[in-house]
Amino acid sequence: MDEQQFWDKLAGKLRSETAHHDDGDQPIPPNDINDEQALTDASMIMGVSQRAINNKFKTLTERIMRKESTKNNDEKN
Amino acid sequence: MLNAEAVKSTDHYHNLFLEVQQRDDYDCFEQIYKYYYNRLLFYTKKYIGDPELAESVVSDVFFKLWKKRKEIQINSSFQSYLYTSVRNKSLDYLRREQTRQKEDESYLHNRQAEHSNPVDIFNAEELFNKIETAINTLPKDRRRVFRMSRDEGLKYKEIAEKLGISIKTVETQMGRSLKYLREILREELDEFKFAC
Repeated sequence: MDEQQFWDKLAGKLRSETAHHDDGDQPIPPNDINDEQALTDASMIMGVSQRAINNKFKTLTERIMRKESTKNNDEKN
Repeated sequence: MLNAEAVKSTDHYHNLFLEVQQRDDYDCFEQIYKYYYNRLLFYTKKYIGDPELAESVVSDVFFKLWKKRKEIQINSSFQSYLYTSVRNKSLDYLRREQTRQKEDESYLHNRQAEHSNPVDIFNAEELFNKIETAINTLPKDRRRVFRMSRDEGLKYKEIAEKLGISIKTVETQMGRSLKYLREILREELDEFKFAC
């Protein structure tokens, strides 16, 4: 695959892996990377950004709060 | 063996969890989450190919960690507890999938045997730490760009603006960094991927 194809493919892969993170994730430039293996390696090395983790923690906090709220209401009733 | 720094970190987060248990300290819980999120996700992806599902497993483990904080008893180390939790949750998922798809029964048995080993947890931590160490060997300017992208999650445009360089330069720096990291971590990455 050529550079543009690689770029598009990796961008797609990272987008699908981080679809519900935020807009902080982005493709990695191609350079000498040219195969499927590279896509996997790149995604392992990059992991999830701190910005995305912060957002995920907010989501978890909301989930916990909803649960606590339901629990409190149940106890009142 | 874990190095002294790793042991110190492990103890530190175990102590933070004690604060969570004893004082319902949500700040400590947040610190634990932010330290372990990527590590656990990294490990979970080994079991479950679907990245979104792997994220869901990790999220569920943290949800339960908070919800059941008062009842949880750590018999070994806190770190082992977390890794074992995501492993078990992943195996539950695979078990359900297996039932659903009615696949060959030996598949799950083989996976359970392979992954019930504490060495596996150690390898995940080890690789994660090696990636961090490898990033620190990048030249200073390139490392700064790489960390702004990887750790802070800044877009190339944002990095370019902050550093007063072109987007093309950011792309080039990122590409070179990634190529270098893949080269020096090739063996470890392959070993980790094919161990499952």
